[in-house]
Amino acid sequence: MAELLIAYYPPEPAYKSDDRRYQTGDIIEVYDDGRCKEPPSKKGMSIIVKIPGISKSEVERLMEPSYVDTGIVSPDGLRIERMDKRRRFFLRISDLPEKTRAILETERTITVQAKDIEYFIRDKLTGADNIWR
Amino acid sequence: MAITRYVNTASSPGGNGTTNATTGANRAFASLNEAEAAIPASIADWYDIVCEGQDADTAAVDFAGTTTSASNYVQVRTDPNATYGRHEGKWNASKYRLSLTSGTPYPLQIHEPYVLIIGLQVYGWYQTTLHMAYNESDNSVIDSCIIWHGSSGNNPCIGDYGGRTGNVKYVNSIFIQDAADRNLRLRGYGTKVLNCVAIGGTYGYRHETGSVEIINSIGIGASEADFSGTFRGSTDNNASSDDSAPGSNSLTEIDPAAAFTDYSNGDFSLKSGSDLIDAGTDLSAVMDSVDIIGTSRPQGDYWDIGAFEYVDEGGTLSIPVAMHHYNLLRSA
Repeated sequence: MAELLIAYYPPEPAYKSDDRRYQTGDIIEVYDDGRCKEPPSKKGMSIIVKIPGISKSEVERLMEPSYVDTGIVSPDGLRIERMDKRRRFFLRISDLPEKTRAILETERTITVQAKDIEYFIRDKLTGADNIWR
Repeated sequence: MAITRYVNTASSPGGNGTTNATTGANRAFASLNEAEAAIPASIADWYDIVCEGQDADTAAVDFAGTTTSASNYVQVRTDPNATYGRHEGKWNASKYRLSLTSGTPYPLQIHEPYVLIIGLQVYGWYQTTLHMAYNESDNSVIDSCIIWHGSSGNNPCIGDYGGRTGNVKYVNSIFIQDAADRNLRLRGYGTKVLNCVAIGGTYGYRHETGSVEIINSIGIGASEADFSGTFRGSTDNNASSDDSAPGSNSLTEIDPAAAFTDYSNGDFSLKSGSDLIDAGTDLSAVMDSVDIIGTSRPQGDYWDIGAFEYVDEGGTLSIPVAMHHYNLLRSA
């Protein structure tokens, strides 16, 4: 089972195209089964989604940032890239079924099957859903 | 009012980091990355993150997106008094360490100015272990750290790209490079390397562009040159195992076995009779007068070269390490 620690800063902000800070839905970290022993603090800024049947290595890609070429060339010819999105993929929490959102609101943690959540993981670069595996 | 948050690798993810407890709602963050995610967009005064843990912190960290300044800065440190807090000047696998042994991220990146990293151990197996981003990491300080790059990927241990207003400072730190690449790749403007130790790599301190000043530092065992490039005129009082140490008061052909307490086992404290003792210059105008473990400088007549100040018989004079952060940004 993979465990995902996801940024959760309600109310959910509007999506920004150039954001270097974590936004609600960004996957902060992924873990192997059993690392998350307690639900997140309600005074904290995260939720945990546990997905049975998936390994940590299968979801590590969700921690990828996104870089852009700044067009700046250093004095000796190196092109400079800039991190413009902290995470390329995010969980569309506001689009989750109401029952799921309600559990996350109260429990801050949920266990769901991959098929029930993968559609809600979006690629910020392309806008496509469910392409992370 | 400063804010303090805690990281403890024994904690369960999802805490709010307000205490060092490993259970409960107010438990510590489980990783430095989790703590970084909770830093506000703007901070008042300084934002202090204290790291601890016997288990390795294995999540890559990128400091970015917070508005900082000389008075509103982010400080990450370990506590020398915590059981699993700060190293004692030698890599310690029981103390807090940020360690990536798989994957391709940079273990530690700084994409915002005014970030102080104090007393951390950082290991990267593949990508550059510490990446100081171009034009973004300005006025950041790396103090009393041990930063190590493994042999798997030919990338630098330190990538210093401080940019036009860089002023990045490396103080009292040890850099170890096992791969066939540069140890410190120095490309920033105004970069200062003060009382540091660079072990291994193709080049120890490799200046490529920008303006770099190196004082009281030693390079050992690089395959091409311990020091390479054109350093600022103030560069002096350095030492190398080859003949490359720049500066009229620098030492060359240093035998590491004679200079350090236990070179082959990573103990770079100075042994009695070391040529590095009293061979440095007074840097109290630009850094605090302590070494990597808090020993006051100088112990003899002059400062020593390297991360450690040699203590002769009679004990160690030290100040509490946690107190000296206030001066780290001085003249940055």
